Amino acid sequence: MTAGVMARIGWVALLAVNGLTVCLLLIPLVMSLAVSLTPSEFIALPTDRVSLRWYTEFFGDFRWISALTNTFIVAGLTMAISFPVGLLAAIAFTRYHFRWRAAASTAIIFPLFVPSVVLGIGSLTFHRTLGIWGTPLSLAVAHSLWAIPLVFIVLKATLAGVDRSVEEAAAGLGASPLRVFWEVTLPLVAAGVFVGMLFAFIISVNEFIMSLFLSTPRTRTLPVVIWPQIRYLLTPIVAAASSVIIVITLLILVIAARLVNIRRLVEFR
Amino acid sequence: MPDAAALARVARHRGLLLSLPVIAFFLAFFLFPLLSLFRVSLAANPGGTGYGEGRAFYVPGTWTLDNYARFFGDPYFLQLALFTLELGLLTALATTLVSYALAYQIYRARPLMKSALLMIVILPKFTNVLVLMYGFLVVFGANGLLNRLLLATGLVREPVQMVYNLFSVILGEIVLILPYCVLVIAAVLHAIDPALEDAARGLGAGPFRVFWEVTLPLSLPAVGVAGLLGFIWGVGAFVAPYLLGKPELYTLAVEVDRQTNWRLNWAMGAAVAFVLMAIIVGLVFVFMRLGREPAVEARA
Repeated sequence: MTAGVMARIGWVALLAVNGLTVCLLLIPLVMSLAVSLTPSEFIALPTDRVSLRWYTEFFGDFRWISALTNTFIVAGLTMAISFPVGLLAAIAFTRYHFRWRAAASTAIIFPLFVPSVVLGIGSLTFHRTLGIWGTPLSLAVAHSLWAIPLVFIVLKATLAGVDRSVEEAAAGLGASPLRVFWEVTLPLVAAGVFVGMLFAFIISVNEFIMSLFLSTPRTRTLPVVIWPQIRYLLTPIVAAASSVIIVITLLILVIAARLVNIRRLVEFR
Repeated sequence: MPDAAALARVARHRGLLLSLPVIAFFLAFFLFPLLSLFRVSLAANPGGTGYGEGRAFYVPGTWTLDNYARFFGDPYFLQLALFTLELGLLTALATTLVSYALAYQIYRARPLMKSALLMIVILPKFTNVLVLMYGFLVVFGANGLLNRLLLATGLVREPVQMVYNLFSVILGEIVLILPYCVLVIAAVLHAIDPALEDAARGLGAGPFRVFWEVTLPLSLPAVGVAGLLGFIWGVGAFVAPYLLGKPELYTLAVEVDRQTNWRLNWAMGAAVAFVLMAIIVGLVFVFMRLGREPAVEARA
């Protein structure tokens, strides 16, 4: 009886704490979207009517457009680098046993545990020596340090879910390993592969700290242009710029969620 | 027909061959930058603006311990390091607690609710950190929506200062770090054999006791991992202290940015970054030793 009451109280307390956490996670996003539609000069919710004036301003300003272009160029390059590299590694780890496998697997995810500030300044000094500092490639390479591990994790999980007997049957019928992959494995994992590519893109679009260190006036991405604006002036144009990023990300996530079951992230059985 | 041993040999090489791009990439763009960082931290600083001819950002070819001597001889830097450590530990503690509560709810939720909650948890990770911090300021800032509401209803006479303090910095960091911790804990909770909880219930344990004596102990390893992740990212905190804090709440990571991008003193920036890295590696090592000892005792 008392135990039941205690459990009830515990459950209500849990709901309350989690309700607050969910609010904390969602409110910033929702508010950025809402404020971007205000007709006012200042940060305010659009109470009587919505206006696209801040979007007009965003898309009419050379600085924002060039930042948006840079963001897409860098994200495209990041995808082009991290996707093939991550895919090959995922195939290697799910289909073959080889020497230094454990070491390679640790090395791949290691950058996720190094502060981005450290990666940023390290890449800055090295890219300057290398001569790629100030190019979109420099940013894309840094973003790939994060994108490759995530592409690798997603693709490894997808490839591990393929029934090996189907591949073995194709091989037994005389197909070469390349043909087995192209005609049997790939069609089976197409959705997961596509999601991996999208992840790489999203990570690059949203990456900020490494970009802050590596970008030069010619290669500023959207987050880098937003940064000083948040610190010094809080006009709704920042909300519009933020919302452009949110909308791009949400669109991609919705596509991804339609392709794979999100519950697979925590349920292995 | 080729024999099995020959096939295995080819397969082994094929695996290594396929991982070659990833190994090459991380040697070139992860290991070398870290080495380069260490090298630059041992160079003399330029002393000028950085944009003068020849002497840009650091003096190439010089070897000196000046940057480290300055770091360890200056109370300002030592205080900064101490605060960074403190913030990292606080963040780790707060994030782990909040994450466990949310992960447990996800574990217990019905399929549709589970998907929705997971989506909400992952969403911030796929959103720009700046967007999150901006949303924070929009709501809780001195001119923010909450203060407007309070003023309009007459509950307060002047804006309440809700940001630019330790609490707001930690709250901001929780939002940034929580997704990883929730996923780690939720994954381990889902891996618990449901039969164990059923058995405890069958033996007459109430829901609270099932949680306390079965579920919680089984999920403790995940709590350790989540805490470690929270600590690693909390020590590296940059955006929240900068945007939701004030100079007294700045961290080593903020100092790296100020030295590198504002003073254009890459050598000092690199030294501070290296100390930050050393603190993290050192503490992860200590945590892992601490984590291993009870396990050894249990086995003995």
